[in-house]
Amino acid sequence: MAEWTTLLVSSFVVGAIVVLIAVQMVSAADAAQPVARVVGVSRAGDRFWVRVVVDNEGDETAANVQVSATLSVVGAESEEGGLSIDFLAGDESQELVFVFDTDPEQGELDVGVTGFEDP
Amino acid sequence: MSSAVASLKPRPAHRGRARGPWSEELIDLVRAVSGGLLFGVPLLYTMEVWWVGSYSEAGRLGLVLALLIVPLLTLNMAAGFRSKRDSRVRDAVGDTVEGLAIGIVASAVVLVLLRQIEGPLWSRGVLGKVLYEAVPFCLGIGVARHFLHGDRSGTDDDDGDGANGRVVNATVADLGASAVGAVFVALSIAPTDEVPMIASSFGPGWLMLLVAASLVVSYAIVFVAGFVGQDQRLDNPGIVQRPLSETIVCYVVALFVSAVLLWLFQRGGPPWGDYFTRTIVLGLPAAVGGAAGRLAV
Repeated sequence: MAEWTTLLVSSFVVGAIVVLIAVQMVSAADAAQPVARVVGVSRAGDRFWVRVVVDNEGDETAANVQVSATLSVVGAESEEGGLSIDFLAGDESQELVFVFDTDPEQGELDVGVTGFEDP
Repeated sequence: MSSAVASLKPRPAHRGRARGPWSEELIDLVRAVSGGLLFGVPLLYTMEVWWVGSYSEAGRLGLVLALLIVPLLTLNMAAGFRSKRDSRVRDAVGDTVEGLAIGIVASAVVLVLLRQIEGPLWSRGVLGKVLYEAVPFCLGIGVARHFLHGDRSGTDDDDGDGANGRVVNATVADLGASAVGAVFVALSIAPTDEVPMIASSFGPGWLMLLVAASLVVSYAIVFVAGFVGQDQRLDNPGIVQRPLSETIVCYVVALFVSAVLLWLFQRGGPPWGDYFTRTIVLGLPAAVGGAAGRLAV
């Protein structure tokens, strides 16, 4: 009985994996579509941390995803930062942190994906 | 004193402690996971495998799964993870299906624990990552019975020393074996970028979870999965050879080994918080190696 239960559950797991692979084989995969969004700003000492989440809304994996953040403040020099993500699979998310000297709420913050590779 | 001496007397490997079928099955499954960890843990700490898995197309994943069946079926006919070898092909086929499922689920759980799965399992990249990591895991399941036959039942107690001497020697041997086993597995992981990479994503909660998982895995490998001489092990009179105390002390040894290896490869040092986190992260494979080392004594 115990062995049969294990076999039954295991068959279900392996069967589900086979079905998932089969579905992925026959369905067209959407191209990678990494999108960046700001999820929070916090103060750390005299600097400001901007937390950014990058979601890959496509199915394909994106490699070497380049993310940039620019903070423009009227009357001051703009601040820029750039980070990269090695691999971002479809439906996967990753959090990044940009660090600025100026409070982002005093200016205009522009965050976005500037490019990626198709592995 | 007399009871200590009495408990050192050799006993049959199995004293016939009766176990129900569910208990036997659970032990077999724990042995499968333990064998899988012994083989699979180095690749679970390899970022190239995460990446290859995440961008492999579905056809290749299907091929990986299909090809994996061949060695796993062969291994199940020769060794497997159950306490008795499969004598019938039908049993070996059943164990192969179970081995695949256990390997896939356990790989996914460890990847989640290491924070390397950030999306749903059914997404293309995550499924590939899990399947590629499941390959060495499944092979480890296929040879689990051969690897986890540890018998530290003290068959060398004819050396003429007193009982106290044997107790201390057994303890020293276990701690030494734990350290050597930890070095054996953690040495190839310590210099890699994966340790700081994984550690950087860990908060206190995840660290606690990883510590708990390391202790459970270490306990499971030695006191549940190793089926020969299990009763003797549970009765061992050594200073730290009670299951719980031995598991904790040997985990501390594994952490010490991890810290030293990280320092040797110039990945240890201030800031101390980061060094501590890296030590815990490397502590999981070190604990797995340490447990295997103790079974070898």
